[in-house]
Amino acid sequence: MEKELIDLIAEKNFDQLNTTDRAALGDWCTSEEEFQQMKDLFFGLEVLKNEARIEPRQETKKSLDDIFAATHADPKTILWYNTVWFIVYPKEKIFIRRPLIQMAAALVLLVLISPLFFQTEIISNKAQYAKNEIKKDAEPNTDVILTNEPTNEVQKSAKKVHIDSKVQNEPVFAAQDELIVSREIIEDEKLAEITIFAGAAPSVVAGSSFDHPDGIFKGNNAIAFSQTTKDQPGFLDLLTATF
Amino acid sequence: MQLQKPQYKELSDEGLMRSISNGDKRAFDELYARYSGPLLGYFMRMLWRDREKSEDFVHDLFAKIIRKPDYFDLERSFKTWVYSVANNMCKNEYKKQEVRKGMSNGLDNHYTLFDATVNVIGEVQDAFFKEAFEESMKKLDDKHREAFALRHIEGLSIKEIAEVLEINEGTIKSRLFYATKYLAEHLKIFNPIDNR
Repeated sequence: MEKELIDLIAEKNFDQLNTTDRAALGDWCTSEEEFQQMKDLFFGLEVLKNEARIEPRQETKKSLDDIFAATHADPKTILWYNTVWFIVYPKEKIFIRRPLIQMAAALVLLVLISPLFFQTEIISNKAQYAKNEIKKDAEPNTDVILTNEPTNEVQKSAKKVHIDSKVQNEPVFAAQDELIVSREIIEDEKLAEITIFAGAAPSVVAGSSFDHPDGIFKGNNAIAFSQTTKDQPGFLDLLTATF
Repeated sequence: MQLQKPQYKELSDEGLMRSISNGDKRAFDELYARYSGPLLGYFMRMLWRDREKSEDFVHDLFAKIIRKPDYFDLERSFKTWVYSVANNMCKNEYKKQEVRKGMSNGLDNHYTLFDATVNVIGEVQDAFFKEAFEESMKKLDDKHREAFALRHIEGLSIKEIAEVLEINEGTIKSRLFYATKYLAEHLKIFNPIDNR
């Protein structure tokens, strides 16, 4: 039964009902007796509702508290979280007055404003760049001179490069100066004559006499020299270093 | 902490359930304060005024809420959900009683303490009206009693009752009509208006 019908039954007597009321009641109350029964029932229900409701016993609540404590072992963190949350997002306040919303709005505002500051800095840098460009235009020949006539620094660097290349080439020369030594076993036990061919020593070997790149002696007309180790003791050191 | 107390009272049932699932004890206390009394009354009406059994049922229902808060769908109304759980618990109890007593409707004849039309003539007082009302409720079929109790005692709308009982609104209206006519017929001898 709708609340309007209950109110109608509660507020009026049967003889006060008009045609509309009786049509609304329909099958609920077809006679005065039924109308009165309904009236009594709803009045009695109101009496029941107004009575103090029964409450469960304390033991029931205590048992549930124990279950809750066992189920949720550490509620302190939750309480702390809730405390913070209630402070920053109190639901009783209107939306725009909640601190969290206000902080978020301030952050958004800051993000929106910050490009303006960066933009100002870029403009100032551009001015400096423009100044530098004017300088370049004012002294165009200096750059040309710099490129054509190297300054001391450039020369120094060139020298350095030269030196570096020398240093890099030294192993090459060393390789070229590597001595190819062939031993001639001499019958004399005391003398060991060593013939040394130095491929890169023009003062020692005639240029045309060695046609083989390794400097191996092939012809009879080649100039060669032989010395005893007594005369040149340094050769032994050289041999030791070589082998 | 002082600030929180009134806020729990302002929270909706669904908001309290959300907090309970996070282990908030105060939220549980608030929800218990809201629903323990009405649920106890509902169980007592549905379980033949058996106080002990009703206390146990209240305990079991809230224990379920503590242990398995996820059973509640936060998109639903808590009120309809909790009454549907309570109603299902009652139905299970009826089935148990049927098995135990071998009765068709789950009601024990021992619970019908008196015949209102014969024994109580002359005891037309408000206190007796309540008792007579409860007894008349017991005589109603389960389906009519639950519809009437949810509508006129617990104050649920017809739509909410339809959700709780999972039947359509037309059926609810039909059951309410029958239950109201039945109770009005059986309680006419008390006539609380004439007693005042």
